[in-house]
Amino acid sequence: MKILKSLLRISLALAAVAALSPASPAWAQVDLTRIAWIGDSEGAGFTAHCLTKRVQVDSSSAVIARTENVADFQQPIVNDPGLGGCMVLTSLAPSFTYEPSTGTPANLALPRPYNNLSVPGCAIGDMLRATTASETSGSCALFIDLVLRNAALHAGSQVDQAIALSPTFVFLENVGNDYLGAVLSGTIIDGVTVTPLAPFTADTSATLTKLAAKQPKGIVFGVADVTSIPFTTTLPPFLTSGGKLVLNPATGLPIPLLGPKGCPTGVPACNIPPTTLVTLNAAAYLPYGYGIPCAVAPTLPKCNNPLPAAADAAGNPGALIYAADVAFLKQRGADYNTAIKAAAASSGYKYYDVNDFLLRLKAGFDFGGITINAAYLTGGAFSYDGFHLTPIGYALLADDLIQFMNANFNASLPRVNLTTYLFNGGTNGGLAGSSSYAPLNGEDFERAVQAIFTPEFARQLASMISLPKPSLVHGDSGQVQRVEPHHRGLDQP
Amino acid sequence: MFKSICNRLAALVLVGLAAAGSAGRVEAAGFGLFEQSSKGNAVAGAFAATADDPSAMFYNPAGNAFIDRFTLEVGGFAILRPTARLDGISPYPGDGYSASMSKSPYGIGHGYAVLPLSDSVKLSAGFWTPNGLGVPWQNPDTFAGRFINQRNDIRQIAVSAQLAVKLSDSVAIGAGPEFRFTDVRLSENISAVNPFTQRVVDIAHVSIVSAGEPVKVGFAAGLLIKPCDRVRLGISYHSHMDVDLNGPASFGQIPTGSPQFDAAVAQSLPFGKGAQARTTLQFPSVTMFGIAYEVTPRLTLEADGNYTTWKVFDQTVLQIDGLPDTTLVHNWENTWTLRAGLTYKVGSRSWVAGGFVYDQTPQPDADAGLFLPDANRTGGTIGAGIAVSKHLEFQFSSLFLWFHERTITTSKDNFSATYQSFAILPSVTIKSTF
Repeated sequence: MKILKSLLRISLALAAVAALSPASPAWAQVDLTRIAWIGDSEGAGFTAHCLTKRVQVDSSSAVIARTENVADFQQPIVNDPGLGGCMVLTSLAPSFTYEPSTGTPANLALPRPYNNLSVPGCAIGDMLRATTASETSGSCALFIDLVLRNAALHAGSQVDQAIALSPTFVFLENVGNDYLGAVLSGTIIDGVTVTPLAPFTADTSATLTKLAAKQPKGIVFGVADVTSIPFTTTLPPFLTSGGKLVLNPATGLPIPLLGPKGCPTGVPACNIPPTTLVTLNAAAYLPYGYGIPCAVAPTLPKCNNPLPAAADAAGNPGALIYAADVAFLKQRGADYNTAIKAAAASSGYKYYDVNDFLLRLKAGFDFGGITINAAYLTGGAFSYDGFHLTPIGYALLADDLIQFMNANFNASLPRVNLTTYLFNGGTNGGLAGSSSYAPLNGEDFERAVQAIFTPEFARQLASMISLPKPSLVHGDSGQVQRVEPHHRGLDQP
Repeated sequence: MFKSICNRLAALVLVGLAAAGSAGRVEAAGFGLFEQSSKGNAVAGAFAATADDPSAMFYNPAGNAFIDRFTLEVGGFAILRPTARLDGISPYPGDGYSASMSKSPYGIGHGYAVLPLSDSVKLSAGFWTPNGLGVPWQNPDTFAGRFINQRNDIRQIAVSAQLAVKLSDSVAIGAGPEFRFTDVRLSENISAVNPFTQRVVDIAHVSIVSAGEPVKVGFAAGLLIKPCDRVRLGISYHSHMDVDLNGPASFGQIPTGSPQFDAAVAQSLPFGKGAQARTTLQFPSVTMFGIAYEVTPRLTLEADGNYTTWKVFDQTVLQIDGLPDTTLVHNWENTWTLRAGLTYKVGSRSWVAGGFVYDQTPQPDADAGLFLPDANRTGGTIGAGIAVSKHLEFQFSSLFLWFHERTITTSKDNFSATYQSFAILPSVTIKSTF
């Protein structure tokens, strides 16, 4: 009898342990009743140079909340036409106009912190400490008061306000502002345009420690490789014409664009190495001859001048990132992610590898014969600025996060229904441009066709006749011809 | 004594096969067809050992060695699909979406003639439909799977001449070449992201039709043994063949409302240029094993096992002029089929019959989808033969086929859905004996 009682006690004890173990569904499920999303522009639903309701309603956090039927999910909505000046594609050349930046806040009076606390332009230090525009700079300063509203709420930083929500689940999404500015401006200086590793590590650790003390369930994003987005991979380092490489008749080799680095003394412009990244900023320079040898295009007024490798005093951005800087940025991104993983392990938050998502996006997501990939303009996932996502891209990210939660929290959350995003551009129509512009002239049209119908697009077509796309090797598909020296373009720099 | 043991063993084997059929891995489904005569269909295709009908050309070419009079047989099946639908699952096409296939019936035919050349040698000729597929989705212009498949059809007709030889009263063999005529049609839309709207739009419709009907030659052979007075054993084989197909791929542009984009699309696809498409389809071999047992002089029970080498259908390479070659991976699996049937003779020449078949699809989840939403199947058959005279018999049968509900969330096309189908295949065959 004693033995039986002992066995019974042991069995009950084991059952209790099993019930409390992390593997138990009751412990591991995800409660999204009160989401807190701390983030940057990608979290905010920023797109094509602006923050606007048409796309904010499809930010990744909003898509998750809608998919999971969260009853009360609030964002700092900006009425259309938004803030920042939304880009509108006016021709396939490509060329753009900008909508007015006159959007007004839609729910500024919400008497509690927003669930989506993302502030475009903020880096990890801003998310942890900044409470008003005066405590930060750049884009973060432009948007932080719109989101945190501390003049009325007095609720602290993004992290503080997230904690004030008593969240049931936390997302910490900082995908790159600690070094993205260097890429956008072309000026790469550690400690100036790039956050040094030590403060990044300290701020990430402090942020996660603070958040986990309030809510132990959450996801922390790694940073993205900012050298593998359309902004940096669309343009080739060679001269092109009609979408094809211009070959040097003497050598039969492609003609490199011109840059300022590594040139002989007294020579202002020389060939850029093929490992150089040419950013979309070059689209504003190439039409005037910057980066193009006069031997090839003698009529262009700025031929034989280098494409800039850094921002100038007037604020015109650089357009080149040389190999050494690329290597530095890649290493810094890897170091950031090592620090994030360590902090995640300490806090119990799950590390979400956004680079893995971007690599899969680059190869393409197929849905019933529809391919969405990272190709500029035609891929569907990246907006016209070449850096931020479209509603389709945000919905794909949300769906990927849901699968990540299901896999890592033993949850069974429903996946995102993508149909509306794919065919309507988003739940509010997305950032549709105009199609009523005059036809291009013959030369520009040829360039546009060559630019739009890239090898990626050809592969996409092949996949659409129900055949699987060929696998892409990392880094091979970004180097496609896009923008030519033509007579349209952005304003003279 | 020997005959008694033989007959009892046969009965035991039949019971064992029937039990295995109700529990095991059976039926080569895919796009193979087994409905080649009303009599064969009435017993759910369990006919390789009985094979006492001109349709033995399909079920077992040796069977015609025991037909003593000139016999003609012709008939057909209607393939009706009261239910053939899908219900979408997120992420695409999404929860709440549903679609159905067109309910228009398909028809397949068969015809056979057996001419005794002597008491032991019989010449037969005939045609039947060994493979076929029709997947026509309703509302093809708005169907969510239109970028994979709007409609596809595979038609294959076998034409054959065979010789059957009775080696003794208990052993016969038969064989002959098999000419197969095949054509394929498929149509779908092509999508792209409109750069101006950042929305997925239809930019083109493509239709591929194999030109003519490529002929490929294979063969069929069979062996039929009567080891004892109440038992028949049969084995037959139809060879596999790869059929090369080619034909025009017709592209038609679909305006998107964005003139620049439309103009760019127009320069990028071979609209109106009649691009050629080429591919090869692999059709499997089928081996049929059967054992029939006369429970009483009027009641015969047969159980069959069929082995189909669907593994040959591993991939399809499609080449279209102006587009990269692409490969569609299928990775189908070889399958066993078990069938069971019962025939009861009514009067001197009429009969009634019933059968049961359980099919398991050779198609893995990754390949299941809009081209062919195959699934395990359970079927029941009934049939009858009514002899209106010494020379004329009308045969009727019907197969009722339930496709098991199949939920696919891991297809290579990433089109997630639950598929449900039910089919009815009624047939009529007229048999005339001279």
